[in-house]
Amino acid sequence: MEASINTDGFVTSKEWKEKGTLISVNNKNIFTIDTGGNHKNCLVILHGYLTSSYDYYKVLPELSKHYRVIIQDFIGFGFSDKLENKYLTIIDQTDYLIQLWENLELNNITVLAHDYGALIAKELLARENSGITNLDIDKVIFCNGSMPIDHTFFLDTTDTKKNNVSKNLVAMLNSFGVYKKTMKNFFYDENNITDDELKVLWKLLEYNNGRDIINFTSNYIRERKIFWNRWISALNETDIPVKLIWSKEDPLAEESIVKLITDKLTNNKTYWVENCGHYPMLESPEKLIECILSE
Amino acid sequence: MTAANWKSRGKFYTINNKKVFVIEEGSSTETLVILHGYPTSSFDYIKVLPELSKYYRVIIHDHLGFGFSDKPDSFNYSLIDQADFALQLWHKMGLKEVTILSHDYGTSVAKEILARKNHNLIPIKIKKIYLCNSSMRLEHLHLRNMDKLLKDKKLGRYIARLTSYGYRKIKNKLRNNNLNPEIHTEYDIKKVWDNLQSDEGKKDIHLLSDFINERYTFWHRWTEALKESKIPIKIVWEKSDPVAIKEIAIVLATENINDNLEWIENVRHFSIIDSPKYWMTLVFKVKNTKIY
Repeated sequence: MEASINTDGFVTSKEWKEKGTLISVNNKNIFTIDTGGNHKNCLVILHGYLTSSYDYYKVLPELSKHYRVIIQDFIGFGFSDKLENKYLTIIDQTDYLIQLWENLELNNITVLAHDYGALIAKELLARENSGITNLDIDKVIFCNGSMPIDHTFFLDTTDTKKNNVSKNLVAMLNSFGVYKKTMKNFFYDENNITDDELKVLWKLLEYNNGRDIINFTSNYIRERKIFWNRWISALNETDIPVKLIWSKEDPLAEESIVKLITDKLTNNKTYWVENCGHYPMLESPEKLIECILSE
Repeated sequence: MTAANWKSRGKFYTINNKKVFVIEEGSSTETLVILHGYPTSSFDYIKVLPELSKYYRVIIHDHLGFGFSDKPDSFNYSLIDQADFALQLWHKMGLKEVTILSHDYGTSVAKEILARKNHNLIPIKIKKIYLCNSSMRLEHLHLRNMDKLLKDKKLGRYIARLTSYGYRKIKNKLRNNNLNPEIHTEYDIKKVWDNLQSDEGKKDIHLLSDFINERYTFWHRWTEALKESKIPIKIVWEKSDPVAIKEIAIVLATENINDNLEWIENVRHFSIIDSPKYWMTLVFKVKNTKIY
């Protein structure tokens, strides 16, 4: 990768908001950034849990030179609508995403999915495999996406995992101080995320009372269990090429998961990001771009 | 009619390398597709099929994991999978416009299909939806605090009942759910059980029953699907239900129910087997017909 990429230009939440527009899908507003341009291929980015499109502010300028890049905040996150007293499942999010794609008339799609976004990517694969949808997906890139691969996870009938996640979330979202401390733990080097960045992430979380409804959304842990079979089969059966970009020191989506995933796939390639935690787009943006672009 | 006769009355389609058992009768231009309940199969409709097929081209398939359909030796099938599966089958059969009749477990599948329809994700036209002896009661019981109620004593028992079926338990459940048990012959119930047991179906039963969890998870999605629906929906429910009658009343009183929803009260859970004529009259308002 050329050394000329400037990835250090900090962007405020206000500036970020100006980059996108609100697109209405089924009467719900989805904050969407569409870099447009005359590119043959689209790159659709599916962000992770608790955060938003903003995670990608460092990599967007360079990626938009190669792709028409689309990043949307999932409903319940970032600048998108936050629904009170209503839980949107992965299945709902996928429905909305497909409608958004139709709205934007996307073709030749590469999907880049991180964390929670990986579940939505797998649901997209499941629908594609069964022929229920006919989306023009060329490639899927999974990046540190937590996947329920382990059988024991599925057989856990006590919902321990969900309860733990909920408990941790409640604690984490208690105050900015705790949030900051917890987030820093997800990085290889805690100095790789600045206070300014964390403040933006926190602000986006709080936007439209998002913090009050967020615990509800952790029901997705239960969905991972319900759809264990569906999503593993989706990986098994797909003929879409899959790329994995994984940072080695991720405390959430551990290195060992990669082998479990690649065992399920026929057509895949893995790229490693060294000395990096759960957020390579913030911690090692140049390396992430290099991995995305390399064939 | 034995289980083997029933099998010879239908045929098999292959969807995603899995065999689906499909009953197809009647030559009307109107198509009625039926989504059966848990843990039975298309066989439930044996008594009403002759009459229904006078008015409709009737299509009933056994959900994956039930009846004569394949029961692959993998972990679980979600209601979402069952909806995909039904949609694929209907697409393969070339259906363009259907009326959906669903019972029990099948109502959740129907609601998922409705949600997709509302989101403009499926091309098939749906004329009308019947939700019979709907799972509504379980969901409404859990309206306020789903997580807490999962551990509820009453409900725990309900789940246990669903997840540990044996022949005797099925028999008792059928009897308890119907006010005139004398109608059941040992024979009838035995057939249902044989069906369930075929192709090692028995071993999957506890895995199939994870759908209870799905109903909590998709509560919002599916109630919204009902609220937003532009398709007429008939909800057939049990007024004398000992579990959730109060809760349903509260929900009805506080929610703005869509004009397209029509409620028919007092249909017992297995009326379709124990009083088919009564069921036909209530559900389709078909007068002066002889079912026996």
